[in-house]
Amino acid sequence: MIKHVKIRNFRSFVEAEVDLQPFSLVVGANGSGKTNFLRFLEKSINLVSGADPQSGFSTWIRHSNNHQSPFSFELTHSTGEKVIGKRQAHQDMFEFVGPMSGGKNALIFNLIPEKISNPERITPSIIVGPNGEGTTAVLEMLKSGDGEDLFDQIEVHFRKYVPEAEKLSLKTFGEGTKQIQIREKSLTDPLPADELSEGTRIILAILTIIHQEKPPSMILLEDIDRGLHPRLFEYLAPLLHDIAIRHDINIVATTHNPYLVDAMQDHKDAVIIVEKKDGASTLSTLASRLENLDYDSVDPDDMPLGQLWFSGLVGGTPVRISSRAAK
Amino acid sequence: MSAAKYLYILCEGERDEMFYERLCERITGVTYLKPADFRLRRGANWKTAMAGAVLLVNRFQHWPERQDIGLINRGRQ
Repeated sequence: MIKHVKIRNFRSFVEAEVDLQPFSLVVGANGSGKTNFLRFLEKSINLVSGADPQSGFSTWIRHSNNHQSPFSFELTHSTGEKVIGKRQAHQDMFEFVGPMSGGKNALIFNLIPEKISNPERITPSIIVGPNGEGTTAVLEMLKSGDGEDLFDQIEVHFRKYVPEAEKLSLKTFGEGTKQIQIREKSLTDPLPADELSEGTRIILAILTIIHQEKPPSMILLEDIDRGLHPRLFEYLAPLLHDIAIRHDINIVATTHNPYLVDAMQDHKDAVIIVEKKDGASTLSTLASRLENLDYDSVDPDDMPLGQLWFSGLVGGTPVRISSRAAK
Repeated sequence: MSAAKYLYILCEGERDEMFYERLCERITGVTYLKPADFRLRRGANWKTAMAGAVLLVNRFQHWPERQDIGLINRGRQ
């Protein structure tokens, strides 16, 4: 598991560093650099492990005054091992200092409901893809292979989030092709996945991603609150935390929803605030921001963390948007 | 030349903010700079408003330069 990251000259970041927790929630205004942070994590981990071919360099390095700035990063593991990667402006290859972690990989998930519910051809050793494709195939492999206990766990959690759902199964759609279907308590016939709501499909994909037999060592979830009822996050946040610890991986999710921040009351160091200062993205934890506010001096029930973030007192909110004419 | 005076308003929206800003200007006869917006979620209760005010003052106290602070609190309805 990665414990600390340092970034120099990557897209909107000039110089930033932050601690990561097993499950970290990233908040910030639109355009502050949340997605760039996820991209940095994906790129750096895949570069170190050799999973990334170092292509597309010019699109992710920071440019200033038409000069490429030297990109470098540091990843510190929970074991204390540190790997440093750097690439000078006009060099072709990265230089790495420190232990290379082969087999580690990171993946950004930007889930698209249609990709989750489409019928899929079942192939062995499949994983859930960036848009949720592969969810059906992974579920089938778990159910019919050695991972039936994991399939059962997915089903148990899914029923918590969608109480109407009675049974999760896979319908044979054609030769070697399957589609997810859900039997609901009030309906005679099972519902094919493409008739489920977007939120239901997304939660099923998230549960499948984290319960895969070999999940990525860094799971990066874009807009985790999309289609998810805010109350459900009270259950999802601890689940993501437990699974990350069990597999010794990191799960990092972005959100704009203050209710999700409320659910991090006991993990203030796991909320990462991204904000732009002088055109550059910065990183800090909510816990560090609270030190300057003496948050302990108020009752947290009066000022929940989500309200606090929304208020602007800890940063990570949009710059002034005003419909008023300038004075 | 006198130092700039800053006004911070913690309220639910832009209309409220405009009202309190004008009110402060009328009462004090001073034009303020407003470097940041602070917002409460709509329907937040007075306890949240009070907690927000306490945290706002705490924040000022951590500023490196000493400043004189005047606090206007609308109070409990």
